[in-house]
Amino acid sequence: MLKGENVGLRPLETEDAWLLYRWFNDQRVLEDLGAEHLYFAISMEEERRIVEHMVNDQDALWFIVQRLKGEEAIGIVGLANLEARTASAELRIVIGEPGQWGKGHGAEAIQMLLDHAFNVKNLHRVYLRVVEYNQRAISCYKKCGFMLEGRTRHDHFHKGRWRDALRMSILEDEFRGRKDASG
Amino acid sequence: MLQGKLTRLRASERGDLPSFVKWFNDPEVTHFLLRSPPMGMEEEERWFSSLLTSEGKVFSIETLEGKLIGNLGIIHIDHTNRKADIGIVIGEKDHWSKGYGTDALIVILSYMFDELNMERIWLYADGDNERAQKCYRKCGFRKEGVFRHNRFKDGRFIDDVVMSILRNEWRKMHPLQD
Repeated sequence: MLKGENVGLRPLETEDAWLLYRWFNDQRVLEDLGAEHLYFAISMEEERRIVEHMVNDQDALWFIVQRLKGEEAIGIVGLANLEARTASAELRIVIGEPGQWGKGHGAEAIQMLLDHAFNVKNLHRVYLRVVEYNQRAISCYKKCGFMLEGRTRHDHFHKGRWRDALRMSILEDEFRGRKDASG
Repeated sequence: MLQGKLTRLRASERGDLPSFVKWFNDPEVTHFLLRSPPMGMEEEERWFSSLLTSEGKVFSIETLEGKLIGNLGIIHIDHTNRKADIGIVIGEKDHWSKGYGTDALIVILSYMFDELNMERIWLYADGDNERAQKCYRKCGFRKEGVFRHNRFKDGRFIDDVVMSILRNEWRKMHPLQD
C-alpha cells in the first residue's frame, strides 16, 4: 500500500466490486460524474464484470483509496488509457462516501497517484475530464496543479440540458516544480 | 439507484427472480400482461442472464422501506431516433392502486427525458386495462391508437392500446429548474 498522511492507496481487487456497487448506486455520488454510467442503477453482476475488466486491464492502474485510520475504503482513483509511447494517462477519481467529502482526501489521493505516475511510471502528462457543474472537483484539481486546457462543448445531456465538460492536465515538470516549491 | 417520492428503482438482481416468478405465475397479476402462466425458475434465470448483454434494462421497484413490489423495464432503447418503449408490473397485489406505479413511472420518465435525452417514450396497454391506462394518463401519456387483435390471450384475440408521451409534453408538466 502507498501511504500518505491521512489516506493510502491499495491495488483494486475483484472482491472490491461490492464497494463500487455501493458507490455507483448512490445518486449523490453519480450526480456530478456526467454520464460516465449509462444508467443510474447497476446490478451486482454488472458491477462485478466491470471490476474484473478493470483489474485485468493492462492499460489502466486502479487503486482503492482508504483512510489510514480504520482502513475504511472511501473511493477509487486510477490512471486509465495508459500510453507508454506518449507517456500519458487519464486520471479518474471518485470519493464514493459522501461523509468523507470536503476533507482533502481526494486531493491527497491525487497527489500520491501523480507521484506514482511521474516517479514510478515515468509519465510525462496526466490529463482528465471534469463536468462544468462539478465545482468541488474543479477546485480540487486546480489545487493539485492541473491547468485548464479546453472545453468540450455540449459534452453530454444532464438535467434536461446539454452540458460542457472541461479538459485539464498536468505535465511532469509542472508537478516537479510544485513539489520543489512546496519543499 | 433512482429515488422517487414513494418508490426506489434499483437494478434487478438474481435474488429478485423468485419474486418475479411468483408474480408471473399468478393469473390475477398476469391478467392484462403480455405473458401468461406458467413461468419456470430456469426460464427466468436464462432471461436474466441474457439481460447482461442486451440493450434493455430492468429495474426492480421497491418501496422506500425496501420491499420489492414490482419491476419496470426499458424494453428497447433507440438512441438515433431518441425513443424507447417501457413496461411495468406491480406484482404485490396489496400494493395496487396506491400510486406506486405512477411514482415509479415518473422517476423513469424523468431519467429518460432529462438524462438520456429521449424524444418519445411509448408503451402498450391492454385495451381492457382501464386501471393501467388511467395511471399512464396521469403520468402524461396519451392514447395514440389501437392495435386491433394484436395478441392472442386466454383463447381470444385482444386489442392493445398504444400510448406515448413526447418530450415537450413532459417538459410542460415538469419545467426545468434554474
